[in-house]
Amino acid sequence: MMNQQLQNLSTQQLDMNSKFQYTDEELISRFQNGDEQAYIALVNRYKDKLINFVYRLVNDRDQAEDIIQDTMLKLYTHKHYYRNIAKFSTWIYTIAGNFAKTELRKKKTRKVTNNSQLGYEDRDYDPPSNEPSPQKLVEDDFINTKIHDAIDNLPDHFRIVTVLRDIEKLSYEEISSIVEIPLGTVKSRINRARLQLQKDLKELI
Amino acid sequence: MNRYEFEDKISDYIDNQLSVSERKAFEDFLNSDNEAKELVESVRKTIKLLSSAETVKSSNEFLPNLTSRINSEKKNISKRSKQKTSNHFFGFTRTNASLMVVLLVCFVSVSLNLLSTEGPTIQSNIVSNTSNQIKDTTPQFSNSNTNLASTTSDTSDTTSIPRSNIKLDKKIKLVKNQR
Repeated sequence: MMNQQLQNLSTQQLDMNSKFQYTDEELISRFQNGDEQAYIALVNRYKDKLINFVYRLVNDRDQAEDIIQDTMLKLYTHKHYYRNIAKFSTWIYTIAGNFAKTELRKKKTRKVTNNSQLGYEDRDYDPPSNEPSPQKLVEDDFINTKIHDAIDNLPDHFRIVTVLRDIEKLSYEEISSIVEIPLGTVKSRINRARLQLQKDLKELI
Repeated sequence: MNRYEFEDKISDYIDNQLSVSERKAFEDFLNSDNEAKELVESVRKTIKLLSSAETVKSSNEFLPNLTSRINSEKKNISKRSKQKTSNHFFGFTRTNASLMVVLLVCFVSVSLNLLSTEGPTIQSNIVSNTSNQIKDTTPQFSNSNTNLASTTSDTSDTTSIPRSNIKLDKKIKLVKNQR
C-alpha cells in the first residue's frame, strides 16, 4: 500500500500539498495519528531542502541522499518523538544535521578520498527547462563550482550555520536550536563565515 | 565605533538585527569610510550569490529506495513483535512464567492442606463450645431459685439475675476467711 502511494507521487500532486496546504505541524500530527499520506507529504516537502543542506556539509551527493533516507526513516519510526513544542522544520533539520555530523566525523577518521569529491561538475543535476545557451551553462557551472569550493573551504562549524542561514534561509533562532549553540555564537559565526566567503568569492562579485 | 566593531556587526546590519542606536552608529561609520561601505556591499552581494547557487535535488530512486527501506523496517518490527509474543505467556517471560506457576501450585496446595486438616476441627470446637454455653445458660432462667454458682461454666451471663439470689458463700473463699 505504502509502495503504491509513493510510486504515484511523481505523477500526481498530493492534495495535502496542493489544495489544503497543511502546516508541517498539522501534517506530523496527522501522521502521528496514523495517516501515512501526511508522511508522504512531509517527505516531499523536505527531501530536496534537506539533501541540499546535507550535500553542502558532506560534499557527496550520494551520501547526502543516504543521510536523508536515514532521516526520513527515523521520521517514520520515531514519529512519536516529535513534540509540538518546537517547529517541525527545526526538528527534522536537527536530525539530518546530526546524521551529517556523524558522517563528517567518520570521514575525518577514515580520511578516504571519495570519487564523488573530485568535482562538482561531474555530478548530474536537473537542467533548467528553458535551456540556456552553452556559454551560459559553462558560466553557471564555473560560478557554482566556485561557490561550492568556497563553502567547502569553510570550517565545519562555520559551514553548517552559513548553509542554514544563506542557502536554507532559516532564522537565527532556528539555527541556534538546530546547531544547539547560543544565538550570539550563531551570529558571530555567520558573520565571520560571510567575511571569509566574501574574500574567496571576490572575483565573482 | 572602530574597524573591529564595525566588522563584527556587518551581518547584524544586513539582517536587520541591530537596535536603533547601534544602527545609527554603524551607518555613521559607514558614511565616513568608503572602504567600509564597499565591504558591506560586497558581503551583501556574496549572500545573494550564495542564495543563487544551484540546488541539489533528490534522485528518482530516492522514493523507491525509501519505500523499500520502510517496508523492510516494517517486516523487522513485525518479526520482533512476533518473537516477543511467542516467548511470552500472559506477559511473562518463560522463566518468570514457570516461577509463577510453581508459586501458584505451592500456594494452592498449602491452602488446601490447611482447610482439610485444621479447618473442620476449629469449626467443630467453636460449634461445641457455643452449644455448651446455650445448654448451661438455659436452666438458669428456668430455675432461678437454684444455686446458680454451681453451674459448671463460669462464662454464663449473670447480669440479668438479681444479686440477692446469688449465693456464693460456699463457692468463694476470701483471703480474709483463711486467716
